[in-house]
Amino acid sequence: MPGRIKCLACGGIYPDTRAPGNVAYFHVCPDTVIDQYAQVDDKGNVTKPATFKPTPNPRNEILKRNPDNPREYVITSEGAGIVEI
Amino acid sequence: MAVGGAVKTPPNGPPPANPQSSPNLVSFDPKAVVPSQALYLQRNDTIGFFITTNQTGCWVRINYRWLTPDGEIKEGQLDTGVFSGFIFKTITLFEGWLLSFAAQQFVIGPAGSWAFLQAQIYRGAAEITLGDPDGIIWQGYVPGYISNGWPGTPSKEIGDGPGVLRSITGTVPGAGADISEVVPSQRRWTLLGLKATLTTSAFVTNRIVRVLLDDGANAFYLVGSSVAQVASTVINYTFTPGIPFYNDLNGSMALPIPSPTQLKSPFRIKTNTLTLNATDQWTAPQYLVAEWGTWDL
Repeated sequence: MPGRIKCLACGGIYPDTRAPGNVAYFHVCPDTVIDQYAQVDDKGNVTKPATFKPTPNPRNEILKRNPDNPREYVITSEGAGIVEI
Repeated sequence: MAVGGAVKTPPNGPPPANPQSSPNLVSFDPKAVVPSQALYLQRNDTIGFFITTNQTGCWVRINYRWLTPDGEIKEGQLDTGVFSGFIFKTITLFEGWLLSFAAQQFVIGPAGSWAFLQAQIYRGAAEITLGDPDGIIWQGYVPGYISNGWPGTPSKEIGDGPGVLRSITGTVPGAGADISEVVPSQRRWTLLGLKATLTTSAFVTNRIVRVLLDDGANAFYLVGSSVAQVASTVINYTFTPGIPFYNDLNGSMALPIPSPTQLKSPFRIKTNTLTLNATDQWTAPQYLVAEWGTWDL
């Protein structure tokens, strides 16, 4: 059973499949996060819809060719980093 | 007549064949007969094996045979060692005819894993550049418990076959965030189903859960539940191809997705929940895909 990793950019938690014996999982932060949540009246009706902003410093583990060495693959962006939990 | 057999089972079988006793009219000099395989390799030829996999910790063993100019059949073995993602290994035969090779995953991969091999020919060992071969011998998926190779089975494209079933545990979104899963590079998926649970906070408003599919930039599918999820409830959502919206009135709803739902990198599978609150929480999506490799990134 793989451990878990927390993305420091989006707060997502996902399986750590880096160790041998796993099928690789590649985390990608959502492209947007909620900036302002929807506002509602006392009956729950939306008075002001939610607004969104780009995810700050997103992490993207999708592999791409290393521009310095085309025979290698590297993740697209480290983002804010990760922590093992 | 055949003899033997189980108790109470009478012996049976066809009568023995009558061998022909007349002499052959055609004979061969074995030393003048060329091999049936036309794959002749010169001294500066190299055979390259490119293997791509979705595993971490794959290991492939390739056994091969070749005929030397002296008429001797030799065997060789290539072990990739442990690798992840992809690997490129080469062998040289010096000179001769490649007769066969068989590949097998030396370490059995986990459920949902696959490895795909392409055997290539390069001229000039000193100038080998991955992806620039002078010929392709064979390509196909490499299994775990048995072997596959040349000339035994026909070549397969990486997109051939039924695909490998993978059950994937995705990312638990942060509080107040929607689900977002991306198809990795060099993969093609058919999404067979996805399940996730939304727990709403006490914040009073109606959430409308929607499933969204996009190509990494532009949405091409967006469908929402026709039943709102209210505060302080737990609802299981399943995205299922080919069915209309369904509410079982016992805490589960099914939302339709295209039939089939075929995706490639960097397509995304997302939820898009209207009036999601900051303390609402989705679980990790658990989804089933049929997966193939692809050569494009």
